[in-house]
Amino acid sequence: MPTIDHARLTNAIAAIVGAGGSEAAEARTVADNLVGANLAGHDSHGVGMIPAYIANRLTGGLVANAHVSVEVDNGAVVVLDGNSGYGQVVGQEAMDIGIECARDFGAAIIGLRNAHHIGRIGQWGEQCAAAGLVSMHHVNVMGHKAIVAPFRGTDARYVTNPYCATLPATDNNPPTVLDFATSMVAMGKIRVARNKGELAPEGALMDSKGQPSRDPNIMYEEPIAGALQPFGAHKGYGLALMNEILASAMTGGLGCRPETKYDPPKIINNMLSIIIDPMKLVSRQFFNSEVDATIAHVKSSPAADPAKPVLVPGDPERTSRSTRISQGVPVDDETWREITAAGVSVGLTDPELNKIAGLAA
Amino acid sequence: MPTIASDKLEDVCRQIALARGSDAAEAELVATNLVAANLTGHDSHGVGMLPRYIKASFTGELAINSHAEVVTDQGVILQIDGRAGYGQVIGHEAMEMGIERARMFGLCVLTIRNSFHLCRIGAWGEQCADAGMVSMHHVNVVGHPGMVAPFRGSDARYATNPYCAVLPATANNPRTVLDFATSEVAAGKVRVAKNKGVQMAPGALIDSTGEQTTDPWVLYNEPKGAIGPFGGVQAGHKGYGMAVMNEMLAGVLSGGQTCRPETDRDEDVILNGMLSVIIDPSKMVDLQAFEAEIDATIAHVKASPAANPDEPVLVPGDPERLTRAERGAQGVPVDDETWREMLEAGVSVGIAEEDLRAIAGVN
Repeated sequence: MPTIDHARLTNAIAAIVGAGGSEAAEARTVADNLVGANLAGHDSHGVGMIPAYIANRLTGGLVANAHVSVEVDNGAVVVLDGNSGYGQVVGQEAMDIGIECARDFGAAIIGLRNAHHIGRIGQWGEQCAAAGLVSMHHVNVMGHKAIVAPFRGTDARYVTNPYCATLPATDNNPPTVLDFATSMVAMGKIRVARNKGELAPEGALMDSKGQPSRDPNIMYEEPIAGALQPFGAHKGYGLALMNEILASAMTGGLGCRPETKYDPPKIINNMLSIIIDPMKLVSRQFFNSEVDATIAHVKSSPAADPAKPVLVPGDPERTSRSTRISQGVPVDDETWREITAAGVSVGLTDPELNKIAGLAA
Repeated sequence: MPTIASDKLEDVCRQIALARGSDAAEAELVATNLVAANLTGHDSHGVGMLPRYIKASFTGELAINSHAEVVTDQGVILQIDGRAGYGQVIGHEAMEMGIERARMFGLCVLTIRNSFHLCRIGAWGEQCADAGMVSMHHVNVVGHPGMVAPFRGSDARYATNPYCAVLPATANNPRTVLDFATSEVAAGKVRVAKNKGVQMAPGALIDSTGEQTTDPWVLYNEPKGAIGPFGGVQAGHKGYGMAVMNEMLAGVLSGGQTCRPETDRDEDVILNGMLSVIIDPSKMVDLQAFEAEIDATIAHVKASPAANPDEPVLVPGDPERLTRAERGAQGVPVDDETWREMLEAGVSVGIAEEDLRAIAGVN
């Protein structure tokens, strides 16, 4: 398995996106975002997405060099259309607009619809946090086949509909970044288990008849696959359903249903973001001292297993980031093969890409 | 165990609150809110709370006839101090203000600090939904010691920090009301298991060393154990993450407090902080399309064939509606211990037991 320096990996991805018809700035934004997900340890949202993006570029489902259009502007309430553009670009533009509105009004709500895959949602929370703002994000997915079953149900009805909530850094703590799929495990973990020939975690899957299963292959069965279970039973299901509706009905987007498939194919995200300027509510000193004291309080709970201390959301990603920045990003052989094939499909060559990535030609 | 008609049970609560000194409007809000929690099946947030409220009023921790005070008003943003008043009053008044702002601006981000027990958070989402609003509510608890352990931790660090998200009714569906504790189980369920002498389901509790246990007494015997986060072994970090975010969103942005040793007061004190996001969907999208999308999504998920035909797929708010219909018709079961405590609370404010029994229609 190649391990690739993150800057070189970014250059390789930018070259492919650029060859796919994107301007240099867009190619760089997409590459930075995807490699950022790998650095955070979330390979399911990293450079492995490129083959799907390029395939959707070539069939026209994903539009290069598209930007958000403002559909509704009611001051603190804004609805944007992503126009099937790269989610990395239209997501960033949406957050830029939301950050400005939140600074003006103290809080803002941004509905973003019809964005092509917006990647790791934590990055949007991090963008808001870097601007000193608190944010919550509710996301749904359409155009992707359903993979998650409702609680008590027996078949997949929607996708992993993530929830994200983020607080800005304080004097003593980096940003607190909560970002999770509302299924028990992410699909990426099932793919990994299958490739390694391992069982899926207990309670993670059901087969096509709705029976609990640990066989990752059932997610790939045709014509009817199994489904991921919600996390936390009825509670995780409730969050998933709310995200499905908040992200679609509140943005003018649509939910994941049989009638909302796309031809040509594309992966569309809709997102409802709430962005709040905490300094309009409390002083910076109060915010910093209270957040720090609360984090210190929960982290001082003695660990049940001393090797696994209590963390706060964002800690695992920070650990991964520092390791992978210094040691490189592991990209499995199959993923790298698919990435270079995507590059070839837009006119690049294997040796060219291997050279950019610092790998043997 | 007495079963009491909901209007009579409301009257019992109303009379106790009035006798303690609440004005008529406050007594009404307290009584209807508590009985509504029983009607939805959430007895942990029902009339059994009233004796605790009355006790707290005598120690001065709960302030009778207090009102929501606006501390910061920035248009879209409202920061409210509950001045230790009944949460039933503070929550109601705060939501009225928030709904008005959301109508005006499309959005209101509202915080509450220092409210006595805000009780069932779904009630506040429902109030917003009845005004046509979408809302999300993040809650924390201070005053009594923590009961819930962080993921990987071995002792309690905060309370059950609920999350609530609510959609208004459409032409074809009643309100969608998601309202849950971020702990694996509510504290009330552990109390019930202890009183009945039964074990809890695996995954809900840890003992004082952080080991899994099913013994409900670990919450009552020293050294105390704790309730675990929801999500279990595989996904407990997600439930924990929500809990700790709610702690800070509600405790810090409100200018209030978070649950820490230095903010502990007493077992009977329950002060809530809350961050509410209230949105007028008509300021974002066409209302007809909004409703159509909600209806289509609900129909789509409910069409998933049930694993057990007796347990069809529901949407949030359905279980509460079923219980409400049943208890509205048949009355509210009040367990003996709770009824005894309510009679005692009545006596403490000068109402004779036989008078309360007569109001309740209980022998």
